[in-house]
Amino acid sequence: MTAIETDGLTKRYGDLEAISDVDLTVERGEIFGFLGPNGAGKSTTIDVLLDFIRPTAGRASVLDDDPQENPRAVREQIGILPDEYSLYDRLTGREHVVFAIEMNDAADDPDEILERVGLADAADQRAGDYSKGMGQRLALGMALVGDPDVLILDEPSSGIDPNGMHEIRTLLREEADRGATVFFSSHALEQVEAICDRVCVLDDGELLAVSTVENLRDSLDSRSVLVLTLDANPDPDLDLNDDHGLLELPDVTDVERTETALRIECADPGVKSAAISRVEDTGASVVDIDVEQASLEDLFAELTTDSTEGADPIETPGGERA
Amino acid sequence: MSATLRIARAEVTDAVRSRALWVVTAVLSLFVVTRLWLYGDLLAGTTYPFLSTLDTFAEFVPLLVIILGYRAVVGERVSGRIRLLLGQPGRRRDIVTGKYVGRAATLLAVVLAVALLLSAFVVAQFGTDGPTEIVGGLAVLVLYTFAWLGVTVGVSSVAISETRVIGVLIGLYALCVVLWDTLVMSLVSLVVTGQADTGVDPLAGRFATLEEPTWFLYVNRLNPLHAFDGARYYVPDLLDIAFVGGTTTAPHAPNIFGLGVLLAWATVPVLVGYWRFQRADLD
Repeated sequence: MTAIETDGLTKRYGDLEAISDVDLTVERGEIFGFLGPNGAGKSTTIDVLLDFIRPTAGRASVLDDDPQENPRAVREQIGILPDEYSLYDRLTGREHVVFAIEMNDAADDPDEILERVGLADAADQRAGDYSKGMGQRLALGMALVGDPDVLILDEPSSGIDPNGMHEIRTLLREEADRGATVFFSSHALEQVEAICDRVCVLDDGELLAVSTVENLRDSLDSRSVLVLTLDANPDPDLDLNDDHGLLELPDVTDVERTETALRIECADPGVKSAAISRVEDTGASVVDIDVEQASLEDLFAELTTDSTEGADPIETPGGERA
Repeated sequence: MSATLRIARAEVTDAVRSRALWVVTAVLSLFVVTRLWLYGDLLAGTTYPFLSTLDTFAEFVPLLVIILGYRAVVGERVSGRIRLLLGQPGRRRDIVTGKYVGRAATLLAVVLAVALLLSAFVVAQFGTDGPTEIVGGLAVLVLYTFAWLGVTVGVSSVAISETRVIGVLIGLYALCVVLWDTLVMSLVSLVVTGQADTGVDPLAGRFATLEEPTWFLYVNRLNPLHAFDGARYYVPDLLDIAFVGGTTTAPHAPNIFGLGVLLAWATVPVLVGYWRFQRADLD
């Protein structure tokens, strides 16, 4: 039995295709990251899983139930932290959790849930007085009620500070250890890589790749860029095509020269120090060193190029290429 | 307890803590008491002062229901709270029914509290209304509140913008309260009799006991205000007949039709609203 499965899932709004032909399989018990920039279609996909919206084509299933045909059965087995939700401003944190416990016919202790999400001290405060992060913790607590088999979390990190995120990761690991499947979306790789077994990347409504986190990180690291700021007193005879012999180095893939800077693209981060010495050997004085980490957007761009040009696909052990 | 009742209970708890509810209740009470004070002399001349004063509610209940109820479903969609509710086990049906029941409980508490206060004043001052008038009048008031709640929750379930909901409901209110006699009935009269003048003096006697023209009796009761107007005299008469023996001078057919109209307003719009809401994308 798969935890989550989508098959050719497509949602169109008029001419706009929010997601197109998404095939996704999440196995039971894994922590699965759903990665993509804002507006990529992550929430649309999740909204279909929760039966908030209905697909134009294709189908989705959660624990082998179709959310549209059997929303109640699906919602009884899953815990949801949706995006763009809102709380009852005039109900306290505890009242929210009690509400969730009653809705689930669960036997949880509300205080224990509040303790787990770090709201024990604010249990009797009204949710209207909560900060964004506290509200997010409360909604997460409500999702944990009834020990759901699948947790679906849409951008759980939003509004939560780094410390809080660490707590939440611990919490999600506990849930996974108990046997729950955790499916969560994020636009930030560092949120996903710290915890996920597998990730998939969605961009512009299309599923680009399903991969392990290591593979994704490798391909990001391989695209780091070294930026050297050179002496601000430029040589009148400056040759902008002078690559300072950098291209002779293995793993330097590209060099761009401006009057005061050198951008060096490295396929292997280990080549950076060799590159710096090579530049200094040519007589240029380096006044500042900066490393541009390739962003997720770069990765998305690369993946998109891969899929259109048919270049090497990302390795997908345990997964499948979209 | 079903998901509907749990959602309803959360609704009520939330509403009881809202300032709007208490402000509206206070304004309603003040309005009713002021009217009683201003028109007390007129009431002294009527047979059933309590039933007469109930007409205060005809125009006030719809406003109360619209103000406290228009956000019932659309507000949940706009704010996103629907995502929190649907994140729990429960169906969309439970949202609509939960909202309906929750708002009904809140509104009935307000309306009945004010009406009971009013009945206590009236009975103490005039003492001419018997238990069947009080009970029958209150029952019709409850039905009338449900009628406006049905249309309010129905419209709220269909629309995706709060402004549109309030626009439609205020438009409907204006049609029923302001434009009905002058525009709608005149137009219908023109079609039926060829004359724009309905030939009925709106102030002549109790509408409930009016016996003709037949078309007027039915068309006029399509407006919940007028259906309420007839029913608040007719239902106490029915109670009299059933429990203490008595007769009524009111014709049965149009008055029963009027009760049916109120029941239809209470249910049909909300069923249509639910049917549309069930098929909507909640994004």
